[in-house]
Amino acid sequence: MRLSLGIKLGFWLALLGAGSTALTGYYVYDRSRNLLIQSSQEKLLTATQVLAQRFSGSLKNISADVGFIASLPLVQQIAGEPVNSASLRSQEKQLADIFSGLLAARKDYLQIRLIGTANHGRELVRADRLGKDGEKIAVIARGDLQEKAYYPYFFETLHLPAGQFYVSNISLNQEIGAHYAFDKPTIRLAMPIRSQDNVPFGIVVIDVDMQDLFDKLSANLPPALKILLTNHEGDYLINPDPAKTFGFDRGRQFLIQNDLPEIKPLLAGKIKQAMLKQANGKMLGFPSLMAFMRVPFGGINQQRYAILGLYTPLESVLADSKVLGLSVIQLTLLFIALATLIGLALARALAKPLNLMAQTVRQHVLGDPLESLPVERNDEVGDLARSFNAMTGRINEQMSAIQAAETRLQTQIDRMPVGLIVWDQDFRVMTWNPAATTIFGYTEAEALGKHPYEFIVPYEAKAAVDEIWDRLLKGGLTAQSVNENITKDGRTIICDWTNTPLKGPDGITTSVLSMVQDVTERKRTEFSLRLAASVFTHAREGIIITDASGSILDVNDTFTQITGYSREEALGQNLRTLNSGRHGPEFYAAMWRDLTSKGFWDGEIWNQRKNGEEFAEMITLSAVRDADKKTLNYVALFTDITPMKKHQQQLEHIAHYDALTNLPNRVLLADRMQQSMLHSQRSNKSLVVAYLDLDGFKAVNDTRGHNIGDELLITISQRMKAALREGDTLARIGGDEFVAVMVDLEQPQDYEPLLARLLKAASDPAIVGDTVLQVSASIGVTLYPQDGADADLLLRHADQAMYQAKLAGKNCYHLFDVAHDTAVVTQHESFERIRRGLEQREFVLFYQPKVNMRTGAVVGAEALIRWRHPERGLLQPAAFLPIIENHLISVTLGEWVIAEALAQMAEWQEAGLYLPVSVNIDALQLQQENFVERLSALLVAQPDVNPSQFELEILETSALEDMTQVSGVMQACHEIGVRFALDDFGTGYSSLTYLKHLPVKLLKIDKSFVRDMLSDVDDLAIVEGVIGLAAAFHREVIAEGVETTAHGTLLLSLGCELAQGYAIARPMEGADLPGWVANWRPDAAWKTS
Amino acid sequence: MIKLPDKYSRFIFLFLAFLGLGASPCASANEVLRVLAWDGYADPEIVHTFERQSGATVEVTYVNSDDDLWNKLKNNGRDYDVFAVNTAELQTYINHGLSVPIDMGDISNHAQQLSRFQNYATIKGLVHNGKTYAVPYAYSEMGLIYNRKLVKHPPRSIAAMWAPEYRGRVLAFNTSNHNFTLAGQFMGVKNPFRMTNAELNKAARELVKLRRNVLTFYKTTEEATAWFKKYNVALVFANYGTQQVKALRDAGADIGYVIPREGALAWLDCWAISSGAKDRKLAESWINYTLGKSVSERLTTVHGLANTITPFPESSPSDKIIWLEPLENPSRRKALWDKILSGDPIEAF
Repeated sequence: MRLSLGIKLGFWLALLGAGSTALTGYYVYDRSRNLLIQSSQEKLLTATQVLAQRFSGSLKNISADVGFIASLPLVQQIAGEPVNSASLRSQEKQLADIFSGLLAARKDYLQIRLIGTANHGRELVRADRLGKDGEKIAVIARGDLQEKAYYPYFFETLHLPAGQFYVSNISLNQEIGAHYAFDKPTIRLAMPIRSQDNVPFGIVVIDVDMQDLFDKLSANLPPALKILLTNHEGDYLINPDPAKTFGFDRGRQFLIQNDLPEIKPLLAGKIKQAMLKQANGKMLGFPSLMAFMRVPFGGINQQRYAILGLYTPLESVLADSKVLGLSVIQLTLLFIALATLIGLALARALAKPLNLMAQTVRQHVLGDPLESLPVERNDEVGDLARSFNAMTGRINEQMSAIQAAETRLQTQIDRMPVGLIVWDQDFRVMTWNPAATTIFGYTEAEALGKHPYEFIVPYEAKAAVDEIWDRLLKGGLTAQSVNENITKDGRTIICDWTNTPLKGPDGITTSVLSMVQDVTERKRTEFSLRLAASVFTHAREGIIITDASGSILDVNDTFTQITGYSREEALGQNLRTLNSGRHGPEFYAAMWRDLTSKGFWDGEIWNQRKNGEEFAEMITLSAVRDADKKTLNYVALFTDITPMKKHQQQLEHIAHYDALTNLPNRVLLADRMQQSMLHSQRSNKSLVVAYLDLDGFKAVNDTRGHNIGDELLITISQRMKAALREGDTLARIGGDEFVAVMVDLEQPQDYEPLLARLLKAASDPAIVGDTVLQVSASIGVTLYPQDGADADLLLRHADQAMYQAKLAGKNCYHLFDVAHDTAVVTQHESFERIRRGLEQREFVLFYQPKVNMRTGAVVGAEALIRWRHPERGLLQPAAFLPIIENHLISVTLGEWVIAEALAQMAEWQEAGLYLPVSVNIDALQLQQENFVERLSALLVAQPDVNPSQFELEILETSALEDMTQVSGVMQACHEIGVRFALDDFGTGYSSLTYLKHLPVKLLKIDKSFVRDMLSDVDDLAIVEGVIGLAAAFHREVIAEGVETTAHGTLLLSLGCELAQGYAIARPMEGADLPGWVANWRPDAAWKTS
Repeated sequence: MIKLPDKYSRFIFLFLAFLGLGASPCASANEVLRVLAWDGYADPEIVHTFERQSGATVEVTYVNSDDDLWNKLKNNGRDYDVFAVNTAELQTYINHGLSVPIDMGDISNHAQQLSRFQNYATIKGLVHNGKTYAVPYAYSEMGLIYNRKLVKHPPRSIAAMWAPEYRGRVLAFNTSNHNFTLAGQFMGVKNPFRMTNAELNKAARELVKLRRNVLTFYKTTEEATAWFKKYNVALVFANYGTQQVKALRDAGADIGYVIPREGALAWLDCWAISSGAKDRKLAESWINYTLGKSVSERLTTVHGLANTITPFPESSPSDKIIWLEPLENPSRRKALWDKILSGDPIEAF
C-alpha cells in the first residue's frame, strides 16, 4: 500500500506519542509492583513474627505448668517416700488427680507423668488424654505403666539442675499409651525431681500435641498465607506436603536446606530472619514470597530453636498490580488515539500543495512544457515547483537525443552479424536480435522473457552455465565460453559465447550482454584436423607431405627417427634430398609415371639418411588432387625395411656363395655361366670354362687336418681369384674343386696366360700358420661356343679334360677335345660295367642308423649303396655314381635300391625290428613320368611295409631344377604315404619360398657344415640357420656327419636332436643292424646336454 | 534431580542446541533410559558420561523408601527401565513379575566384581530358575562400633550389646526389622529372617533386655554422633555401616569397627530391569556401565558405600556378611517393636 507523506508523518507522530506514554506507564507499573512486593514481604515477616511470638508464648505457658507440678510439695513427698508404702499410693492418686485436672484445663496437653529413675525409668503417675475432642482423661493403672529410661527426655532431664526445664524436639509420638496421639507430632517439656538429699529421683513431663498448636498457629492466617516449620536440623515439621513432615521419624529425612539453600545462614544462626522471593517456584510449584524466622525455645541450658516460615503465592501479591497495569494500558491507548488525530491533521495541511504538484507531474507528457505548478509560492514548495519546470525542459531535450541514439542502436543490433542477447538479473531474455534468431531459430517474440534452460541450453550444460552466470553476477569480467546449444528445431549446435556483465552506477551487475556465434562447422573441421594431426604425429610410418613440386611441407616424428633429419631441416627441402643414388633416372621416371597416371605409387626405394647411411624403405606415394584433378600435394608413407633387406641379402649370400672361401657356389656358378653364355653369344666372343682340381690336397687334409686344409683352400682361392680379371668368375663346387669362367676372349691364345696364372696361383707355396705348404692344380678347359654344349655339359667336358690333365701328370691344363670326345667313350664302357654289376648282384646296400641323441631312440636308417667290385673291392658311390649321372641306368639302379631297401625292411620286420628306411633318389629318376606308379608297384610288392616308414632323400639342388614337376611328383608320393627328406640341405638353393611349397618332412644338414661347425663360425651359422629354418617351416631336421661326441653336444644345444654319423655308427650291412639297435646307447654327455 | 516443567526443558534443549551442545548424532540419540534409584547411585556426573557414551538420554528418578519404590513400580513397571532394589525387597518384585531376567552376557564387567559377588547363586534371591534377576551394585553392612577409650578388646560378638558392663552406654538403632534379626542372631536361631512366633516373642524379651542396657535408640547418624560425644558411649550398632564410622571419626571419636562373629547384616542394592523396560539392551548397557571401576568407586569415595568392584578399606574377605532376606512377618515385628519402644515391661511379651 502506498503511504502518503501525511500518513507517514501522522504515523511517526502517533508512534512517538504512544511510545513515550507506554514507557511512562510501564515505569509506573513496574515501580508500583516492586513496592507492592516489598510491602508484602514486610507484611509477611510481620505475620511470621506474630506467629513466632504465639509459638514461644505457648511453650512458655507449658513450661510454667511443668514448673508448677515440679514444685508441688506432693511431688517432693512422693520422692521421699519409700517404695510400696501405703501413703505413697495415696499421694500418687492425689497427684494423678492433679494431672487429670490440668489435662482438662489444657486441651493440647496429651499426657502428664511422673517418672522415677527406679525400674528402668518406670512411670509412677500418668494421666492420658483419651481423645482429641473429648474431655475423657484416664489415669493409667499401675500395671500398665511403662519404662522410659532410654528416652532422651528422661535421661537428659534427669541431670538438669533443679528448677531448669527440658524441652524435647518435636517428633512423632512413638509411645503407645492410652492417649490418642501415637504417631502425632509431640513436644515434651520436663523438669527433674530430686529427693530431699538432692539425689535425682525422677522427672515430671508434659507431652503436648503439637498438631493442635500447629493448627492454632495457622488458624488466623489469611487464605493466601501458608506455614512452614522445621526443627533446628531443618527437618520439616509442617509442610504442605504431608509426606515430607517428620521424615526423620519415618526413616527418611527431608530437609528445608535441600529445598531452599538460602535458609542455611538462618539454620546456622548467622541471621535471625530471612525474606525470600522464589520466582521460579522450584520448591512449592509456584512463584512465591517467603519470610522465615528463627524461633528459640527451650530451657536456659538448651539452644533449641525452630524455623518458622510463612509464604504466599506471588500471584496473589501481584493481583493489585494487575489492576494498575490495566489502567496504564487504557491511558496509553487514549494517548495514542489523540496523537494519531493530531498527526493526521498536520499531515493534511502539509501535503496539500505537494499533492497538487504530484498530480500535475503525473499528468505531464514528456516533451510538453510543465504547467500549473504552484511556482508563485514563496516557500520550499514554490522552489520545488520552479526546479521541476527547469528540469522538465532539460529532460525534454535529452529525451529527443536519447530516442535518436536508441533508433541507431536498434538498427545496429538488428544488423549485427553475431547474435546479441541481453539477459536480465533473473537470467531472462531482454533483448534478442535477428542474428540470434538465425542461430537458434526462435523469433524475438518467442525468446523474450525466457530463461536459457527453457529453450537453448541443454540440461547437461546447466551446471557449467550456472557457474558462468554466478561469476558474471558477482561482478566477474567478460566470460568467454564455447557451449553446446539447442536450436528450435532440435539440432545441437556449438556456439561461441562472449558474455559481458552490464553494471549499474552502483557497480552491481544489472544485466548481461551475450554475443553468440554458431561455430558448429568450424569446430567439426577443427576436430577432423586434430584427428588427422594426431594420426600424422603418432603414425609408425614416416610421413612426408610435399607441395606439387616435391618441396617438403611437413614431416612427422617417425620421419625424423628414420631419416635423422629434424622437421626443421626437412621443411622446404626437395624429396630428392633423400636419394641414395642407387636407383637410376629411369626408376624415378617410372615412379613418376605411375604417380601421375594412377595417383599413387608403392614399392621399395633405397634412400639415404642424414648420416649418409643408406636405408631401404617400403613407400607409398600418393598425389593429393583438388576437384580439377590438379595435384596440390604429395603424401609419402614409408617404413624402414633395411633390417629385412639386410637379412635377405645375408640369406642370398649364403645361398650363392661358398661359406669357406666366399667364392660363388655351384648355384651362382650356373647362373653366371648362363649369363656369360648369353653374353658370349651377343658379343661373339669366346667363353672359357676351366675345371680345377687341386693335386695333393687330400694329403694335406689327411696329414695336417681339416683346419689347415681349409686355410690352404682360402689362401689358394684368393690367389686364383686375384689371378683372374674383373668380370671373370671363380667358383668352388666341391672340396678341392673350382671352376673358373672367363669371358670376352677373342683369341684362343688369350686364355693361356690366364690359365698359367691360375696354375701358378695354385702351385705357389702357401704359408698357413707356421707351415709352408705346396699343392698344384690340374685344369680341364673347354671353350664356348666352340664346345656347343649346355652349361652342365660344358662343366662335364671341362671335368673330363681335367681328368686328362691329371693323367698327364698334374699341375697342367688340358683342353677338351671336341672333335674326339674321348671322355664319352670311356664313360660308355663304365655304363656297361655298372649294368653288368647290377645283373651280377655286385651292388649292396649298407645302412647307417639315424638316432635321437637326446632320447636314445633309433629313428631310422639311411640306405647307402656300395659296389662290391670283383677287382677293385668295395667301392664308394663317388666312384661310380657320377658316371651314370643323368643316364637312364641310374634310374634302373635307383629302382633296385628302392626294392632292395623295402625287402630289407620286410626282413627286419619279420625279425621284429620296425625301422623307417630312407634311400637317396636321383632327380632324373624322380622326373620319370611313371615314377609314382613304379614306386607304388614296388611298395605293393612288399605289402608288410608301411609306406609311411619309407622315405626318399632328394638332393635339394636336383629338386630345384624343375620345380613344378618335381613338386608334383613329390606331392603324389606324399599322397601314397611316402615321405621326403631334403638331402645336403644348405649346399644350394635360391629361395626359401620354394621350401614352403615342397612336401618335405625332414631337412638334412649337409655333413660338410656339421663336420666343421666346431671350428668354423660360418658353418656354425649355417647349421643354426638350417635348424631355425626347419623350426620356422615346421620341418624336422637331422644332421649328418656327426663324427664326435662334441658334434652331438653342440647340435643338441642348438635344438637339433636327430643325427647320423660316425660318432653314432658307420654304415653297416642290413644283417648287422638289429644287433646294433639292440645294443646302442647314446653318449652320456648328450643325455645331460 | 528436579523435574523441569516441559516448557523449560524445551527451552534448555533449544539453548543447548544453539550452543552446539545438543543431541549427539548417535543412532540412539532419541532413546531414553529411565532409571529409578536411590540418591547417590546415579549422580549427574555418572549419568552425563553414560549419555555421552551411549547417545541415549537418561532420566533419573529418586526413591526415598522401599514403599516409594514399590509405589512407583507397581504400575507394571511401565514407567521405568532399570531400578535399584535390595535383595530383601527384590523377591517381591520377581514374584509380581515386575522384574525380568538379565542377559549376563551383556554384563561383561561382572568378571571384575569381587570374589564375594562372583557366584550370584550364593547370594539368596538373585537367581531364579537359573536366570539372573539382579546385579549387585552397592552394599553396606551393619557392624559394631566400639569406643577405643572404653573397650579394651574389640568385641567379637553382638552379645556385647547386652553386656551389663556397657549398661547405659550402648546405642542401638530404632528399627523393628533389624533389631529382631539381631536378637535372632544373638539367640542363635537357625534363620534370623524367618523366626517362629515363639522365637519372635523370645526375641522381643531379649530386645527389652537390650532396651534396658542401651542409652537410647537413635534414628540418624547425626543423632548417634551427638549421643556418642555427650554420654561416653561404648558400643554402637552401626546401622549406617561404614558411613557412620566415617561420621564418628570426622567428629573426632576414637573408635574401632568390627564385624561380629555371628556375621554382620548387610543390605545389598542391586540393579534390576523392569518388566516394562523399552530397551532391555540399553538397560543392560547401563548396568554394565555402573560396574565400571571408576563409576563403582564413586560409591565409596563420594558416598561412603561399599561397591562390588574394589574392596572396601579395612574390610576383609573373610568377614561374615549376611545379606538381608525377606522377613517372615514384618508387621508382627513392627507391632512388637512399637510395644518395646513404648517401654512395656518384659512380662508383657
